Amino acid sequence: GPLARAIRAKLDAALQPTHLQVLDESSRHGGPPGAETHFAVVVVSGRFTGLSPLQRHRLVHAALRTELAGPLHALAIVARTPQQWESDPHVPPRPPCLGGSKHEQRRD
Amino acid sequence: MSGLVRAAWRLVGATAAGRGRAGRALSQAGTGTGGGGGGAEGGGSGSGSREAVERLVRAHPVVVFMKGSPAQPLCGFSNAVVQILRLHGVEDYRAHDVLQDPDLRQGIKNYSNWPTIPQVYLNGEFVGGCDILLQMHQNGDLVEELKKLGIRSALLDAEKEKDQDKK
Repeated sequence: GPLARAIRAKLDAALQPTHLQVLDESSRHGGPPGAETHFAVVVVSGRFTGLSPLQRHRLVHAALRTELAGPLHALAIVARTPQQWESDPHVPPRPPCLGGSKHEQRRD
Repeated sequence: MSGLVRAAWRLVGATAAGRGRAGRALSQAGTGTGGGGGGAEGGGSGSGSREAVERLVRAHPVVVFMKGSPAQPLCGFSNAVVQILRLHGVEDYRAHDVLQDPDLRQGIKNYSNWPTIPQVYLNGEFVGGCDILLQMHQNGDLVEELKKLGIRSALLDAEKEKDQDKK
């Protein structure tokens, strides 16, 4: 979808990843398939070298600032250096949704 | 789910919910401002102000901003944080339900410059969200960080028990 494409484009530009996965997980959070509200990204980039997990996630957030201020409601991030990805290309399983979106009074 | 665990959750939930209820009452009274009760923040600063958030994150070594409560998380990512803390035997922490307080929800994002919930603070310092806490749990960093706060992770005792059984 369009948001997935925008996310991919922004992350490509900001982080020049050697590996990038952009997954629309909205349907796992009670939305219809293709809702484009909840995403997971797996970003493998040399730009992460020497950065703490917090710093890496902030880089990802910075690249997606506009999207996060808009339709992007939740973002799960896996951020690894190419070396880390080579030794461990495993992505931890996503926690199950507990229907949080249904409890929203308004979208943030 | 064992009765013991459920009881522990109720305890945490009661503490957190009690705090949450107080917070809600303050923000709902008098059109969302600090409220007139004793000890309320100064004029103009609601529950989402920098000062209010600062007070919350410094109130306890472990503070979590989440959706729902530890007894009843309303989001998978928030629940993951609760579960990880529980694994480490951390039952005494401050949990704030942002779904109950839109001002706090926006305020905490401004404070940490972090766009999503849940948010975990250790010793007043923002540590990250669910993904980062999970990483810290998996690589042993969380045990170390808890140790710095004088909190002994339950996982260390579990390890010790295992070793003693072997002997």
